[in-house]
Amino acid sequence: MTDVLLKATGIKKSFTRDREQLQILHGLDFEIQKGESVAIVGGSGAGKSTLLQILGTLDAPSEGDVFFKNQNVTHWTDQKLADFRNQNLGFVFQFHHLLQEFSAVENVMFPCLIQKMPKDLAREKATYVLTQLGLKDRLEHFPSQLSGGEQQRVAIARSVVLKPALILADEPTGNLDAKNTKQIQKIFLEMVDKFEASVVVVTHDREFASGFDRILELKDGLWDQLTFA
Amino acid sequence: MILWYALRTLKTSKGLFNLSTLLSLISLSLGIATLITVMALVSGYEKALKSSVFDVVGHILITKSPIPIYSAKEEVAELKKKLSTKDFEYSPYVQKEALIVSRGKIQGVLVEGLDFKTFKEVSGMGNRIIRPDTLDLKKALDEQGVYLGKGLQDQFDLKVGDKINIVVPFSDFSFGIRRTVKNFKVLGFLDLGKYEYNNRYVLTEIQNTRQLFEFTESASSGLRLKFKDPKLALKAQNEIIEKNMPYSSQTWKDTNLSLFEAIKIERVIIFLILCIMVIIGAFNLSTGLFLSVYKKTADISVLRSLGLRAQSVALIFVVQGMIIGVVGFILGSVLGYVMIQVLNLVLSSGLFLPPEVYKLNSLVLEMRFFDLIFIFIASMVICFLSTISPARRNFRLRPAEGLKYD
Repeated sequence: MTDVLLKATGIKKSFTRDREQLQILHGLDFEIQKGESVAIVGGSGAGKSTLLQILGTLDAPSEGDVFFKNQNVTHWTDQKLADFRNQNLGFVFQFHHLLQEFSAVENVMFPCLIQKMPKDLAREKATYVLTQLGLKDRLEHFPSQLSGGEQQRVAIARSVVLKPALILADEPTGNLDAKNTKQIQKIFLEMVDKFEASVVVVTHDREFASGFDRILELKDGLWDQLTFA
Repeated sequence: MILWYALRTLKTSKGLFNLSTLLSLISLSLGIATLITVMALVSGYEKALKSSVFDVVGHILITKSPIPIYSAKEEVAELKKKLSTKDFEYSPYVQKEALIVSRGKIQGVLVEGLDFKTFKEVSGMGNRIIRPDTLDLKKALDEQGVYLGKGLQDQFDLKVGDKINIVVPFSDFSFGIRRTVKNFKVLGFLDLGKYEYNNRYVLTEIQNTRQLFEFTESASSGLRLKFKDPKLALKAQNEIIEKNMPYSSQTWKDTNLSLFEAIKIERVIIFLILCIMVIIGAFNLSTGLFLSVYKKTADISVLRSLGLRAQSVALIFVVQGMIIGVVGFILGSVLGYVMIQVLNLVLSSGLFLPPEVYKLNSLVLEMRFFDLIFIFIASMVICFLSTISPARRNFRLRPAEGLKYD
């Protein structure tokens, strides 16, 4: 029996730009099992990031539904979705999106503090994860004092600190040089494994995608059946 | 967490406020400082006026006009019987218009006689002496002396020890108009606070005025009463009217009714007008926060992706606005205090306050606690209102919005 963690059915997304309706996603279905890792590949403008944001409830679909553990989360209130994201999801973005005014450890503490965890405990957890990622000596460094690879490691630490059921990563190595890309890809897969999370990664790097359980290719807002693995 | 984020993002990495915060703070604190200073000016003016009126007029004057009061004790007993506030001091006085003649000049004056034994209980006239050091009405009785408002000193070019004549015109049935002239020795000068008092007030002992104005022994124009609180005098006046008591009364407020009323209205108007300055300051705050919303769109989206609720994000901007408001108020208060001290120094020189225009001889700006509380509340309300729009903009921001433009 399959154990579906997240399921999306008939996802459509359109935007209006300059009075013109742009259809980005054309009725996609998607599901991911517990513990599974899925890579979504595709060219620029295929709608990968938009789909990821819809799966992560950061954006609402124009049509279709998203289910998490069989619960339809599409029409939940903003409050309920915020709590849901905090408790179940972890995000990694292409540009790491660390908060510049806060140190590495403080950035990682945020998800814990949002759920009102005591500051000491949050710091303890953040320190642990950052140490696992080899950043023990960089805890109090601000993002501007860290290299690109280090910044992305901090972002990965932030996404896993609360041991979420699902991690959603949008081009986690898209902004890094070749050397750091390899390193981050390795660390990312190790961390996902260690924290036993399901993963959806959007990437254009097919080599990186090959390390995942499944690869899906998105082309003009539709799954490309030929590349379905 | 909200306070932590709000505080940290207001600062730069070096620990100081960032430029946008600094500009908001400067404009807000300047507005608040101006508001505090001008309110202190109005308060100082009101205080100087009240103090002058309390010292010279007292709390309430009771007369049986046009007839004199023949027995102060009997009238006081009657008042104590009928008034709800029985705890007051009293002193009889004689007060009438007359003329001063000296060195070929004539001036209409108000001559007042106070009882040297009891006047200190009801009058602050002793505080008003400028030359010599003490007001001695016993001496005025013994030596037939007078104390003059300092304006009269200047007009007649008088000094202590000089002699003046006081002329009192009478109209009577048998002789028509006649006059009494008495010679008085100048014993000293008074600064009565108000320009018009200083230019027409002559003080002496009550016995001297009884002789001058041909009052019988122990008769007086009226009684000067002093209560524990000046407001009780207003209550006593109401009771006199309501209970139809056979007295006329004039309270400290009546003597300058239009002025006190004007100050009251001016106070509100000045407050409202100067609030505009604080509002302008708050516009900077609002603009700063709006800029921050745009600058921090990505951060806000990240916080939302981490699970921060939209209300909490909006609250961050409200908290930031309020922090700037509180710091702006503190800075504004300090700046206002400094401005008040500087202005007090400038005003004490007497160059900028012509008494014939402002009716006062001296003015000390006074920062009132109540004004500060009121200004604090007003500035907090204004700051809060200025945060609403940026906070609402945040509230409407979809979490994905800030992640799209990279």
